[in-house]
Amino acid sequence: MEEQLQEVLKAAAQRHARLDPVPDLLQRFMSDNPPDMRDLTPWFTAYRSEFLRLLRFGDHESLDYPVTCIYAIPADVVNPASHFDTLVGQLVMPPLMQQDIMYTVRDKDFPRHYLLLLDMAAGMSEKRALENLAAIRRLYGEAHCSLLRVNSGNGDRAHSGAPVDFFARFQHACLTSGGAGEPLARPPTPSGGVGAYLTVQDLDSVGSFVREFVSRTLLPKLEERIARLNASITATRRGLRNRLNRFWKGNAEDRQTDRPYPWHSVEGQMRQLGDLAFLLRQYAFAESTYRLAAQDYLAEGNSKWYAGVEEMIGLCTVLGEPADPIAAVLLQNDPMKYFMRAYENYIKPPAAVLAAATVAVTSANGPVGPATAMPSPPPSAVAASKIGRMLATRVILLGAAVQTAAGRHRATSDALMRAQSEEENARAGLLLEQSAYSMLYVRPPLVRKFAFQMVLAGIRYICCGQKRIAIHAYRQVLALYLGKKWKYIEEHLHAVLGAQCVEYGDKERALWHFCALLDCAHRPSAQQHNNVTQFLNLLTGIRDQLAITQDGANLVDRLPLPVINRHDVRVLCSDAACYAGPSARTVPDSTWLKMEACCTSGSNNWLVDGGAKQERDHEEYSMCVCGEEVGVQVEFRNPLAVKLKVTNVRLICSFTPEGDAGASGSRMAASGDAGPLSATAERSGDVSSVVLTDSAHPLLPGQSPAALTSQPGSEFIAISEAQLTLHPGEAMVEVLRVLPHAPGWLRITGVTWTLNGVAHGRINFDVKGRRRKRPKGTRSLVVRDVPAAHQSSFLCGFVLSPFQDIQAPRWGLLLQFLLLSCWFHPAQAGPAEALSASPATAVPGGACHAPLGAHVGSAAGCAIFGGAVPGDDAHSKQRQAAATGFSVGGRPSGGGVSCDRRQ
Amino acid sequence: KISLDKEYSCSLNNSRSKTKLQMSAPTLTFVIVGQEDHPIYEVDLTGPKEQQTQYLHQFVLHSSLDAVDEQMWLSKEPHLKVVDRFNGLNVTAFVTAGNTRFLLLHDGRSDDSIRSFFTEVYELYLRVLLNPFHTPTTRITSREFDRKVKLLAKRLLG
Repeated sequence: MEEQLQEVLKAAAQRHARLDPVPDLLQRFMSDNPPDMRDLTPWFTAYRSEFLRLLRFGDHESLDYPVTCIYAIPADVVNPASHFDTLVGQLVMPPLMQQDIMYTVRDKDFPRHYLLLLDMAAGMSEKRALENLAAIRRLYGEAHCSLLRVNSGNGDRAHSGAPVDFFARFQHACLTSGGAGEPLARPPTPSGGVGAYLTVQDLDSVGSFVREFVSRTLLPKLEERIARLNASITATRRGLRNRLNRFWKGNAEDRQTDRPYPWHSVEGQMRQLGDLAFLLRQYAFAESTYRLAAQDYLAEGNSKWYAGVEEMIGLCTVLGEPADPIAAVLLQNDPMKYFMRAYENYIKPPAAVLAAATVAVTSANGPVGPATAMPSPPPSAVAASKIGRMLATRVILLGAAVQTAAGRHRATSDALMRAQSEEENARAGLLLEQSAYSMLYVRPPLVRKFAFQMVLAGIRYICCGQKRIAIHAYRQVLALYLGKKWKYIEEHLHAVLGAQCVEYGDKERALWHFCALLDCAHRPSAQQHNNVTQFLNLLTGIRDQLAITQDGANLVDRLPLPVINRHDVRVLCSDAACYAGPSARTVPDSTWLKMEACCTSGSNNWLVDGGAKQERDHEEYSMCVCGEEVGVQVEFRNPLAVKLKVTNVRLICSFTPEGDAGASGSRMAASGDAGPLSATAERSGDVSSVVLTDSAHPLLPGQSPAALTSQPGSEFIAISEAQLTLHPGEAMVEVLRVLPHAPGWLRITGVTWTLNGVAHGRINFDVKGRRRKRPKGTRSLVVRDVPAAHQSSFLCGFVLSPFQDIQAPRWGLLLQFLLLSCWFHPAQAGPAEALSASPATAVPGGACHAPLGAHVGSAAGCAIFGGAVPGDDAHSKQRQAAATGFSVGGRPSGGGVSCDRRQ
Repeated sequence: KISLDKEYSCSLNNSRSKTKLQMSAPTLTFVIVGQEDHPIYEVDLTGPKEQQTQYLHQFVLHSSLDAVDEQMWLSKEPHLKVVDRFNGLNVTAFVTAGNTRFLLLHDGRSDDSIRSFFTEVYELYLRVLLNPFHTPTTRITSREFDRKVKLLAKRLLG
């Protein structure tokens, strides 16, 4: 039975469930017409109908058992009465009818009918059929026999007009329990399909036969039976005398087993009477009968039968008109209490299990000692308790449907949640899912409860192998949880979804989930190692990592290992590039002055107002000499307890040669579209070669420059690669270098790397420049919103062209400006900005005004801080950097005047 | 991977073993949830738990926020008592005037001690709030705060 249900669920899931979540589910629920539950979970509807069908023919209810029997034989047989006798002899009855527990066909009062089928297509003789009919009418009585003409068509459905799959809806698989006496398998379908020769006229005649049969035979017989049952019950149960009798005498026998009551016992009769009345829609009468029966069953401790009648009482109150509508409203007569009573009693373990348990307890306490193993309850008892559990779930399903129809979604959810905890996995999953969706019908929707129950449902689905709906359930709620910083929740979701995606072969999605799992510093090292290898193994087979995108984001941009501090980036320049010595002294002063003029006109110093350098807030230029290596200090940190190898670490730069200043950001490689451009390239080429020869100086003390490797296709800049190994928990500051060969704009936007030789990563810097000084009148303390398009941040360098009129020495004193540019995040506007802005005016003026040397060189990177760090710190650090800064020999005539570096 | 799933299921679906497990190691998890449903402070007051239990606890705490949202309109007090239950886990909540929610996940402790615990933690939280750099989603990382919360839990919740 369970297997069959699983198959049904799997098929329904294959047909209906999509892996992707239902879009804008919440919006649809918030709108005026929320979606229908049946559309959201079609597999549940399919499962439920099959589940309810398989649960029919229980021994405690007579609802499903036949109340009449029709024998049908071909119309043109010889001696029809003998054929009917054989048919009666061969009749397979439902198992409980055979055991004489249910009202059986063998009873002489059981309604029967004898039918002759005249098959026109088989060419049966009508005359003979009529003779046979007359014969059996003499035998069985006029009212109980009839003749039915069928198959008057010619096998062509197009002409007959009968619906094609007329019988398909009613041909279920056979019940394994025997059900209504079905065979184990259906007979094979004939070649033309079932009912190929039927016509509309045939169907009509069948209909009229059934109508006539019901009104003339069945209903009178049923009425008769009801009257008989009623009389018998009235005699023994109803009335004060009977009640007193029973009260004094007590129960005749002490029933400790759940053996069903046979149909002829008073208890069984009560149930039958109730069921018949229910079927005939006499709900009030049915309810009173059930209540009468309930007292008996309860008194005898037969929980299954008691639960059965309570369930029916609940249904009667739902379906029937309340006897006193006003009282029903006032008392808030909730049918749920009957259903819950039924639920409680269905799940009570059957008496056999209880008996086994008591035996176990006594034997354990007995002289045998505790060594004896607990005797397992007999298998029949286990099966009975399983059925009891299923029946309990059935009650809950009924109750939930009632509550949903009444708009009490919260009560629905409560009931379903109660039923799921002890249920088998697939059913529990379905119940949880239903419960979750009913949370969304509540006003306002309980979204977080919905999410939790969906996750629970997903877990149950995974346990029973229903992967498809499991993924659906998880994906449905993923968006609700992500970004809320509940780290364990996210971890669980990613772990489960990642594993499921791998199983489904959806590598890209799995990579995203595993990538999210890499941030697992709070886990033991073995698991961290697992997560990392799992991710890398999956990534190994993928060729184009840049192609993996989701929601517009690239996996390469999201690689969280190693952690790179994108806010704290410093720019360093090789400061030893000076021009001094005897030859320098021969350069006339006027040359130096001219060169200085380009830096000192206006000011490169932000303390002097009116400087032309800073046009906008938060963007700053730095400059460096063309051919001078620019180093960028980047901090790499390994948060895990796993050793990480980081290779191919290089800066992401773009370069715009001078003369092409309009196209900022895009590196115009020598496409030969302009004459001056190529000229610039040539010139810078030989300048840089000279610089390269004598630039044996280190960028930082104690570090020798790495070998310079040109970026392919770029003759303007050379980007060097670095590699590092990060030990567990280690943080390392690495200087990444780029060498510009030509004057122009150099923009350093980020850094790219390869993790453990497999995974590529990329990150953009997020640095902030200083705010521009403003006249006091227009100064406002809150930074205005920055347009979203401008929020991407970068480091940018500006390289000036060599001055044509200056006979600059061959060491190529090119002034390069590095621009540090950055934007505040508008979301963080607040007191932080106010504080960080104020010290800009508080820098002591005297500290920086040494006459600027010829070499107004590279700028130190400014330290940029996040919104939460007081701005005071930021600026004091800058000041320190300036003070401890760089003493650079500049003017040959002055013999090395030290100059202050300012950014 | 299958075994992993099985583990999850064991931890989450079998309520009986769950309760038994809690008998051995009592549950006491305190979370401060900010205005935008971000947990800004989390502490497990009874020592580390196994992974699946941690998952379960966060799920229960997160889903109880719905119950908190409902209950806070029914009471004038900031202390809301037990707002949600799941498989023997209770969630007691306290809502500050700024809609920051204190949630305590426990397995049935006396309401009085929890109330005084919340009141004391609220005093501490107000001091955190005085920090102008504290935003609704800033995590509380102050070591002193952490120490004091643990001390209070030891004193008041045992």
